[in-house]
Amino acid sequence: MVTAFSVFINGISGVFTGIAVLYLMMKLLAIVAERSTADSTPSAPKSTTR
Amino acid sequence: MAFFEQLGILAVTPGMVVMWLIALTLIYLAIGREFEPLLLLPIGFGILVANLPLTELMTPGEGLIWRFYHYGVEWEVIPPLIFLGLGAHTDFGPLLSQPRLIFLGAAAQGGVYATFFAAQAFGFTLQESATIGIIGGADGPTTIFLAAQLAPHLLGACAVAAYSYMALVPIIQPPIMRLLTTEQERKIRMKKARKVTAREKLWFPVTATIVILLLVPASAPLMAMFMLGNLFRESKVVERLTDTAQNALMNITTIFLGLAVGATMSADAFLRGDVIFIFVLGLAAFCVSTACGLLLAKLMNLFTNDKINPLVGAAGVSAVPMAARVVHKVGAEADKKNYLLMFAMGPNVSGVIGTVVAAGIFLTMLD
Repeated sequence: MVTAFSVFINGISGVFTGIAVLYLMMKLLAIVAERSTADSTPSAPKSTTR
Repeated sequence: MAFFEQLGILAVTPGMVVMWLIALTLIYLAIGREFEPLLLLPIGFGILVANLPLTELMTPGEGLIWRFYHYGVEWEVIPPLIFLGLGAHTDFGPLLSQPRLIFLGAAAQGGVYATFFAAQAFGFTLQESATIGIIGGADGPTTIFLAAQLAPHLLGACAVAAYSYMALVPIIQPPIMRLLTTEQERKIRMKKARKVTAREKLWFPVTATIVILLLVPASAPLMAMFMLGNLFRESKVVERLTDTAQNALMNITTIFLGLAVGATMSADAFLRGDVIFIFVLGLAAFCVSTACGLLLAKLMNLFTNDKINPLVGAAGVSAVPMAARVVHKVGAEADKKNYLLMFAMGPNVSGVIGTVVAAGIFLTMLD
């Protein structure tokens, strides 16, 4: 049976779980995006001075 | 004579006259004071015409506005279309640059659940309590979406309460913000956020859709459309669709939504004792949500050297971008050179996500 308390507990834990997973996803996204940007960035020309 | 028997004026009731006054007040607030005019103007007009006798605009199966309401709101079409437009307007850059601020949007749902309990204490059913509580999320389409499914008889009152309080954010929030923060805390300058790549912004709506819908499938109609609108925007290859979602489509759906919601407020449905409780509880939800966001920011500061200005927590209530602007304004009162707007936009958009997730959980458990 659904009670106010069970709705509250499920609601609070559901919202924070969803947001926490999104947080981890954003962290992962930042790492992957930065890495792929770094991979696709042309390397600096080598110095030709002797 | 049949003509005189059909005169509307003979069927006017005192309740209808009261509703005309309410309608005219909303129309005045929209035009004269520019309080959420895009919504309050059609809502006010909807209330007015629905309370003119014998018009049959809301007669089930026949009335013109009933059709807008039935196919647009009851069939859950219009709120998701508005979310498509909101997504096309939303820049997740500020949130992606400071991911930790997403928790402030979650904390601001505290008001939703506190009010849910309070509404229970006042004798509302679980479904009605959830509908009243969601007003604290400060998100009009989500409130309407949830009300249409859980408590259609409260839809008009809850929608008007939500939009009214959203318009009153600059009045409701600052006293709470000043009460719960010190001058020193309001002066905290946050570190400059990192630059977010276009690729991150592009991937976010797709990955966020997968993550959220796997966790809360019931939030799909709103969340899927929200993220689709954002994908339009960030893909930069469908400018026409982005423009349509942001402008034409959003404007059209807003007209139908406002008119239909207003028309649900007939005298017998609105002039009841419990409606006043809805407005009081809705206001309480708004205040508690603001406080919860602020307090979580203060709590997070206990565990980090990279301090958060607690004011940005108040933007965790959705009300985009009004709540973020209020944060910036209150912050600037303490330190004119403290530019908080972009930081506040992070919790602001995460508040939208948090409210949709909260609504999805209510639907999962109570529908």
